[in-house]
Amino acid sequence: MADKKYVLIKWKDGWQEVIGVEGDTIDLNKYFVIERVEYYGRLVFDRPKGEYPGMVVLDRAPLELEKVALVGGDGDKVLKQTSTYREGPRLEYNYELEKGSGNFYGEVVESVKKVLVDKGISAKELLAKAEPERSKEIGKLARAANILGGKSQADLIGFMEELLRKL
Amino acid sequence: MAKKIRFVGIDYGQCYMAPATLRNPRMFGDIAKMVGKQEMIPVWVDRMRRLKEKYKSYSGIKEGHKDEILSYVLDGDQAAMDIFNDKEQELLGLAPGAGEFTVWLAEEKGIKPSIISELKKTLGPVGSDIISRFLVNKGMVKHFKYFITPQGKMDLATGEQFPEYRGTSKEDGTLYDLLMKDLAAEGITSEECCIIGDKWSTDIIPPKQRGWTTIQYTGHIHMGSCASTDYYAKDWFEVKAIMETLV
Repeated sequence: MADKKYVLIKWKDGWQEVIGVEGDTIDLNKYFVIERVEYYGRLVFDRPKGEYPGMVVLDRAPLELEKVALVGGDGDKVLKQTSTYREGPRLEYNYELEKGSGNFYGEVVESVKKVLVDKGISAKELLAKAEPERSKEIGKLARAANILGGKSQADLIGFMEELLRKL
Repeated sequence: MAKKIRFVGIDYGQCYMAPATLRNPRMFGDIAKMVGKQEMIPVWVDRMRRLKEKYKSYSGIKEGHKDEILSYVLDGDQAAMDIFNDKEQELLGLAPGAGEFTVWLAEEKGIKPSIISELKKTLGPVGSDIISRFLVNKGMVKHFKYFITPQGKMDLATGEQFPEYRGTSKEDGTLYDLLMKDLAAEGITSEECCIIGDKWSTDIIPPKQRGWTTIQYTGHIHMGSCASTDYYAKDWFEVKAIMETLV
């Protein structure tokens, strides 16, 4: 079996592409297009003067975001939808990031502390474990405390190690 | 004057249950984050889409090939599969107005409806299959009377099962024929029966051929108009408005 076969695709404007597919592909089957409204949230960050803004794209239920907090930043921000802006087929829902009264980071810290107590292990003991056991255990601790890595498990482990070191 | 409706049958998939929030990126995104395999999100989503192409519909996968979600999509990751099963229930919702309709019909009108649905897996105790578990999780099971399927009929209050329904079919009408016999024993005639469903071949045409009143639910799948449909409803608030004239 060939490692790969290739499919050629041509658009009406003359654009042509080639895409690799499985080597055991026999024939074309069908083509269909899905039209559906999709929502993507874009959380934008200030960075030092001269740097481009930071941004993360959120695709998990973007209209249902409740609050955000930059760890080590200015505390909780609650989202209040203020306006919509339409430009052709694009519709933006704009939010104000209002200062919240809670302490999101503090809540996470407390959850982590509680799970540590339940598991009967200290932050120091956990951090002293050798890899890969350490990351695995920290991941389990985080999940039990209801905090997950949004983009990568490495982000979660990094955040948790920082948090655990402060306990 | 037409007889008042005394028996109400309801189809489950894409009718009473709304799968609109059960999207692959959300489902597999949540699972991957929970098992710490965020890099697998696009892979799992892609495989699930391929699996759907193999079996033509998501209900086709769920009803007979769910094991392949574990073996093919999730690489045999049982922890991820366990989360899939929980998330599936969490993300499936009641169709708009379905809860209000059910409570109204059962509590105010004294008619506990029955779910009439295809089910490929063997019927177990209440809550062990995807459909009765959905009713339990949504707090609706107490408002329903029977769960009627080609795998058997089950009394949702007692869990008692009636295996004579095994091997019947909605599409060829044998399930409705047997149901009519049961209902006749309670003194209910076909003119006193109504069904709410979305598919002509299983929910509308066979019951209509047996003299039932038919309400075609168009809120999720709209198959178009059908000569066997008496009423159309795009949500359960409209179903309630129709039913108010029938009970």
